Amino acid sequence: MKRPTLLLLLTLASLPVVARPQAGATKLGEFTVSFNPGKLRFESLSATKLKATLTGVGSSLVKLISPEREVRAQKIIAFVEQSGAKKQTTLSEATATGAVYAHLVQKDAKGSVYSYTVTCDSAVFKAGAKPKTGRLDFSGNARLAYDTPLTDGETVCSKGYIDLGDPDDPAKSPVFEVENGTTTGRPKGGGKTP
Amino acid sequence: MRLPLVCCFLLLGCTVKHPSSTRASPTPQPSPTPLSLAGELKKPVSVLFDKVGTGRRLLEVEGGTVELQTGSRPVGIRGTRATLYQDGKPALVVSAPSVFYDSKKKVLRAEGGVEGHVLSRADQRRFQCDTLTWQPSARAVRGEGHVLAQYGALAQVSGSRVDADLQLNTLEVLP
Repeated sequence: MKRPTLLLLLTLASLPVVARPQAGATKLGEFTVSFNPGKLRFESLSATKLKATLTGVGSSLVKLISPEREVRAQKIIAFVEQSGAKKQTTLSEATATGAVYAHLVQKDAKGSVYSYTVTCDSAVFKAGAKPKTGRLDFSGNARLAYDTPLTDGETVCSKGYIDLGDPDDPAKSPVFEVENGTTTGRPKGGGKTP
Repeated sequence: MRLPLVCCFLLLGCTVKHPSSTRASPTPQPSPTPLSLAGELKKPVSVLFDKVGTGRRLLEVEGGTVELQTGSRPVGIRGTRATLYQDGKPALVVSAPSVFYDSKKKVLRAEGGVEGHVLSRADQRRFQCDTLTWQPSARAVRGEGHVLAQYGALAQVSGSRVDADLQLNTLEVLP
């Protein structure tokens, strides 16, 4: 290979490559956001707080996904903010409407895994004061599938909530409560159906 | 618009190159082309003021050339960096291989890989895109092609098109 060609190739190889996220995928704190097709509107509320409105086109869904949380809906309004000494970015609140699907996975202080899947008309998640804590309220044609260390099953209800508890406090395991519902569940470990 | 541009151009003593300064040919030209002039900008030049409103500064372009046509009619200013003003204060800095303010269409267009950042913000708002347009009357910018906007550690947005105000306080992205 001739020297000028070699130099050109070496020069091209040494050029910095700017990594761009995939089109339509966006980071919102710890969450990856998907709004394709759809649109995203940001409104800055302060230097440390941002409102994000995700709107799908027609019946298409927009998504917020993290390793332990997933929300899909026709419209999601989310607030992210920086707080604490470490300036950690967290999703402080999210409201989802229209064909909502929410999947939450939480560990308690013993390391046991609690898994919840909700489909409903609307849902509101509010983060707790500590990281990895919070509560999801859901309503309208709700169906909750749960898998906990003691029992798993499904409930159909008009509304309810899931409290994620506190993974650092043994006295605060995740719990859920529903209103006007019918439940089918079975205890784990060979127990009787409640 | 025309007067401030020409004034700035003259006051800053730009080096003007007259393309047709060589001796003119005695034979008549079949179709006369418009006379064009270009001058190198020595330092930032204010090219646009809000004449309708308060007369505040709207735009500065630096690192380029002034382009004029017959009768010193300003066509625009071409540079590599522009500062867009909001309420008389510098708000957004745009850098690109080509930044051109078209004084006829009253639009600024940056292309060839645009980088921008908001001034006077603690949360480090910046963006990249392939092309950017700004109309002073609209007080908003539109970025198109490989859009990537960053709100410090709060959020990162990518898409194909973005509409935003000069402070990026409100930003709308299409995937």
